[in-house]
Amino acid sequence: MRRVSFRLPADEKEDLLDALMPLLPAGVRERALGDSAVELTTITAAPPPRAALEAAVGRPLAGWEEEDVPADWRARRARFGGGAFLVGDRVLIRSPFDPPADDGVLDLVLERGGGGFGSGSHSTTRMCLALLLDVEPAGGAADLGCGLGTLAIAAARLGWAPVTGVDRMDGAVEAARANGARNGADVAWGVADLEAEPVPLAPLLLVNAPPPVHARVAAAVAAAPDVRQVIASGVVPGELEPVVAAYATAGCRVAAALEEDGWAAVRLERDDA
Amino acid sequence: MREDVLDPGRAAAAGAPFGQLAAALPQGGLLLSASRLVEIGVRATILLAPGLFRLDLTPQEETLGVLTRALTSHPIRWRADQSTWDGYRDAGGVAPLELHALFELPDGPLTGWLHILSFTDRDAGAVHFVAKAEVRAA
Repeated sequence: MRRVSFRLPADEKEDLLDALMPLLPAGVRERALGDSAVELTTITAAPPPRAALEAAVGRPLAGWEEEDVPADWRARRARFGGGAFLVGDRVLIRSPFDPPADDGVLDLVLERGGGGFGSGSHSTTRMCLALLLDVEPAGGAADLGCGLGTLAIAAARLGWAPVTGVDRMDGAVEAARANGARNGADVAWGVADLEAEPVPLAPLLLVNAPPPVHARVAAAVAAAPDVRQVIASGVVPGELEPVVAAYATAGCRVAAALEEDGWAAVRLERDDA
Repeated sequence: MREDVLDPGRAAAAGAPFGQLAAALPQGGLLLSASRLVEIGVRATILLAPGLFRLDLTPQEETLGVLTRALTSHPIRWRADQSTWDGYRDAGGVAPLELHALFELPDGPLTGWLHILSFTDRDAGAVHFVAKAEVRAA
């Protein structure tokens, strides 16, 4: 396989891709190089000639590089990355196939499975993690709708204890358990349907889940003064107001809020915190 | 203009590099179809209707980047049902991605209906897309 990369000016990228995309059937991987340029990479057995691409866009392509690369995507991922997400410069969420984190960065290795959510590719996971990084560990935490276990594992690795993680999907909990072991995180995992079963509670709740789950969690928080903070996401901005109102009824107020890619996340604190 | 953009020969030629098929619909209009295996994290053109639009998809582990690129200066209106853009929260299964378009061309509007199914092949680190588009007079 051949790997071809080149650069385009960021402000002209889409116009130039009109000419290039039909000539690049394997597609392109995009990587921002600051604000002014984008690196495009394509991997294919038979890349189009450079001259053909330059003729299509009517200009030389800057930063042209070509090299042989392994056909197996795992081997390429190990060399070039592409499935890792750095949050707050402090935590890297990555697949087992991506290069490890730099020194000083918490390295969380998550393998997907069981339909679980939390690889870091979705903004809600990253925002919850960013909000988690803002608070000092202070006792136990519960990840409600834990998916692959990402937030629970991060909480445990950051010093929260004891940590619980529950999800309604058996397969996701199995994957979370394996991920917890992979990352040396001491987490109690369990299967629970939070729309019907009792809500596990802890001083910190991590709830990356749809609005009906937030409604049940907020009702449980109202009767549990030991819950001091809630990090909530899984909602779009238009759904946030009733979610925040439900937690306000339970005695929690918004301490921090984030929005990314059309999704919202908040950190709520108990009013007397 | 409508005749040009509904020409299946033109669409087949433009989409040939990535294996797009094109045909005339029996009651008039253009049918596009394509089947693609796209590596996770890669942006690839899935459907191309010259003079109207290009559909690029970027599969991620839990999200799907969708870009509809206008290939005309005339107005285009796109819409998607909630079930399409909110599909990841539905644990009951993966619904098809459905997009509807209205192309406001000077010699009369056209409608577009795009239907995309996706299947993740985790061993291949890729997503298999099966897509079609029907473009016809509004």
